[in-house]
Amino acid sequence: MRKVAVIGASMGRIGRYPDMMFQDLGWPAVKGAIEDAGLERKQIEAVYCGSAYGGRLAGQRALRPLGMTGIPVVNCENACSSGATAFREAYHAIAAGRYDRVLVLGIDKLSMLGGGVLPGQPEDWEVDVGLTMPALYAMRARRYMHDFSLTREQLSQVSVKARRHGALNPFAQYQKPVTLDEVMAARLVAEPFGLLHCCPTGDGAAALVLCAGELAAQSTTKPVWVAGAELTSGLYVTGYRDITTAQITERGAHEVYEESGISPQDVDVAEVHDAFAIAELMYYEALGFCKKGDAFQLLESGATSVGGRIPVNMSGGLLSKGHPVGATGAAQIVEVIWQLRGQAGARQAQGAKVGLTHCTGGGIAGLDHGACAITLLKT
Amino acid sequence: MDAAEQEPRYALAGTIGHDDAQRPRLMGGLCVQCGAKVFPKPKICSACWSTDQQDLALAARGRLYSFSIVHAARKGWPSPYAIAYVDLEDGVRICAPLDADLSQPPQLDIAVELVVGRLRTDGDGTAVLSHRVKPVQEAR
Repeated sequence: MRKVAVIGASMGRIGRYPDMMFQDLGWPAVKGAIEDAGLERKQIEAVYCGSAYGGRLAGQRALRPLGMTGIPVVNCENACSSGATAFREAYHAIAAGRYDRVLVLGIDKLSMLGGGVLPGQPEDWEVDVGLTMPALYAMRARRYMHDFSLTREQLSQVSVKARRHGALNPFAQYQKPVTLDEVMAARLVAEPFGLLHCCPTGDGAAALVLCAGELAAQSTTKPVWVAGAELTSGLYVTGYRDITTAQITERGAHEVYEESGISPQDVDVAEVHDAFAIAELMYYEALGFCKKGDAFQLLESGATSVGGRIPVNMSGGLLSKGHPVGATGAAQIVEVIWQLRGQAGARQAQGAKVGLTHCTGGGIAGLDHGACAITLLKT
Repeated sequence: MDAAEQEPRYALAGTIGHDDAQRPRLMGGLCVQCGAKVFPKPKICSACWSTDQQDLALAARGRLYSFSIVHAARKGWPSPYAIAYVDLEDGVRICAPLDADLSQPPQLDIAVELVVGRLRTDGDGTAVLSHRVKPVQEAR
């Protein structure tokens, strides 16, 4: 296995752009990442594109305006983990020696679907009796609040922190801080969640250029190395299951820490999949940042805020930066690349050397999630 | 009245049966080879790959594991409504609409029982029925 470096990263501001064509969301990120890597487009040997709702040939459609045709384009769908799945496939292709320079694109345009909750998966029996994604996470939240005496006020602090970070990020969909009172009083979506406990739907694209380690110095003096890229799927359980533990994430984290030789204590900055407020707390625990049941204490201590010991979701996370589903994994990696290069502006985590990205999702009855992708990056 | 009107429309076809006392029961599958109980009844057992699956009336009672009151519903769904995870007494977890006073939501872990009721109305005006759960009224 060869070492693999990330040498280019780019994304646009996430938002709702119903009047923008899908391809026009995508190509600026691609062009930006290739220019950031100091490469010519002809040097890209293959493209891996993650998209959940983009339909057929999402990658080709975004690449066509740039004349990047005639190369292998692999389109990856894995719900919220689509972009991170594409990244992982690109990483393995380079590590195995198949290609030297590869582009990863994550892209989705959720405004095409209209507003409100995302459509459910046809033929899913839980969806057919009324389960929605917010309701699924809301049930996790209610059980967690019951089992660990978490209050709705405490849960709401997750959203306050996310918006505080997002206000520092020019690429975030929401750049306005919110107060605890605003979170508590927002209109209800799926109790205990109000609107501000839920990520928005949005449109966006993010792109990365990866290369074989020995070629990195030709592009940059600041390569970021891929230390591990883990992908797993949820276990099918038909009986009782503890939904306060993010089991798929716990398992994936264990594998990626082992693969990379990095431990949770080594992580300086992390982007985790806070699609709903409870998720961030559950993932602190599943990723090993704290013990089971201690997540709120970790949040309250300031450890996961800007300036803390392990800043989480400096970008604002899904709650504030936004969640263009298939783009999210790539956007998280772009943020961590910027953090590790010291290019994150007002939201910079000082001296960060090791970064983690985590995304998981996809509602599918019997599985806690469809997919989970965790990436470890280091300077 | 033709047959189509007499036959209730269920959200999940083939999942509602009745016991000897004509009480509604939720039908799942029992794997003849390994004994796995699964809802809904599978074509193949995910544990042992046996395709020998029997109809099984699942436990009519269970424990309210968690629930949410949904305000932002999908198009065509009347809201608010409550949806729950219920741990049935025979070890199967189901997702079920919950009949409860939404202004006084129930506590977790209370006993619930299976009922059948209206879920929503289809585009053609037909009621769509489904299994539901409601809190058990304990005898005093």
